[in-house]
Amino acid sequence: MPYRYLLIIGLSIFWLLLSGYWDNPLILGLGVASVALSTWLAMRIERDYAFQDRGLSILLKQPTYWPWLFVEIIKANIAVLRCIWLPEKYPTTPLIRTLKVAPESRIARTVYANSITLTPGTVTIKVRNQEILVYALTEEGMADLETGEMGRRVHKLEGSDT
Amino acid sequence: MEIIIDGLSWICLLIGCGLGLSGAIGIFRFKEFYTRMHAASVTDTLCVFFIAAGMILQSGFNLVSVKLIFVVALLWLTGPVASHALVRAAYQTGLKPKLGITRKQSSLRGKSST
Repeated sequence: MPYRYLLIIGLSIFWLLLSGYWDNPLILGLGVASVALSTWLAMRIERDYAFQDRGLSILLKQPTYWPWLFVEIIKANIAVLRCIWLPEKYPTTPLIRTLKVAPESRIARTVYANSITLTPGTVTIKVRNQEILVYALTEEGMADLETGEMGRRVHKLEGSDT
Repeated sequence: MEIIIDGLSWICLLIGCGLGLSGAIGIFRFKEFYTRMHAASVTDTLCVFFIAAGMILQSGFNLVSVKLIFVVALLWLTGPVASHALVRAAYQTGLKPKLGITRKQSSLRGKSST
């Protein structure tokens, strides 16, 4: 239930910032109508795929996760750039491996799989229950994932005690 | 002061262009679909970030820069979904990736390291 209000507030702020016309009643009315339409569509989806996971805790703790992820993305970018520019010195050894997932809720697993795909050098191929199939460009990239640092951080986001 | 901001924004734009170029070169240099995916993800992430940062520095902080931040955030949120969909579709239809290490070896190594 609180997600409905969060969605309305978020969409309204998003619309206001994107449009920039804050004093024309016609355009403001159209904005209200589009926010209402999107909220209605989202509610229709939620009726079938209820959002009962720990979404709020994840949303509130995002600021602690993104700076770390950004540093990881820069590191991974440098690793892939080395493979692109110096293929003799840093050869690519593509590999596939199934990894166990630490995060439990659906939304946390989605965040985890998306973060893996977002960092260059590793791509999530499949997510099945508590296992994910990861394709990595180099063995170092896979080793970084296997230490489970990213999984632990996402697990902390969802709040393991609740 | 203006010169410093201008210089910073130029550095950001040049780094972004360089990253975009390396992504494009990587797409041609890598041999098959799955590895090319990774070259493209360099362009997806840091290249977008640096170009947007350069443009924000050029425009100053106003509504335009807020929109640029939205562009980066939306690209970073939807990019992985698109690449995951592509890779999964390729894997599901049976395109086998050429592996440097076979799956059996890699799972064995995975066990020994933990």
